[in-house]
Amino acid sequence: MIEELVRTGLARFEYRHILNHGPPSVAAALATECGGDQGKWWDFHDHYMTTQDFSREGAVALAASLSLDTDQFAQCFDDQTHLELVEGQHRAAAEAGVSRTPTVRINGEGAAVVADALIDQVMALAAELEAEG
Amino acid sequence: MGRYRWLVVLALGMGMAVAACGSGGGPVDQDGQPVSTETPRSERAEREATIMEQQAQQVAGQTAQDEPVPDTPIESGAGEVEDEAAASGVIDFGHREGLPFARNVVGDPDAPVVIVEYSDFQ
Repeated sequence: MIEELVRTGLARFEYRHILNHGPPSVAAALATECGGDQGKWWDFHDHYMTTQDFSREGAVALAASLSLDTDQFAQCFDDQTHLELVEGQHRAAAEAGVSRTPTVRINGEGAAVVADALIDQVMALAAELEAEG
Repeated sequence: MGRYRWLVVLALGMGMAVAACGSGGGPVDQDGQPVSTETPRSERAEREATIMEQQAQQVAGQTAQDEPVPDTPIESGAGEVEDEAAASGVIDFGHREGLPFARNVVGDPDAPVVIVEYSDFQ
């Protein structure tokens, strides 16, 4: 659904890290960003949606399976190269009032967590736009 | 209201997709600790894929002819990343195949609607 909207050029989709669950959350976020350095951000994203393995070994194994430079990946992971990035996203989200996950915002508006809330948000926006003519 | 029917469809689809998305952690208490159980990751991923497939046809061709949501300032992430050229390209697998990406962003950088998902892999 989202991808189809993106394909039309109407929307773009962005993912921001929330680190509500401590070290496993941070490890997965760091691994994804390190994978992103080598063009595999979404491979890692999709992997972590289907696994409960948030270990260093698992991350390096995934990097290897994707034919990444594992030395570069491991150094990136071990050095926590992107810690500022992921923590910054978490912090910015918290400052914007986002704490529960997943939360979706459209054009920076709203903080919908469940379908009903999102529908209400969109309906209100639609009514507002229609009123404006 | 009818002219914005696509927005409602978008909301329905997104809500269901996000609810089914494997990237979500549960709600947390004031101390940031999880307070609810979560659907198994693989099950959610399957549900997401199913929902995407079922609703893509419903929306395709409809959104492009409707009016876009007015643009508003885009939320920015924090931190800088080096060598962005190596971190961008075109996705070559899965349901996003063929879409341009730059790290955590998929799609046209100038798209009028920006959908941001805040989520936790754990």
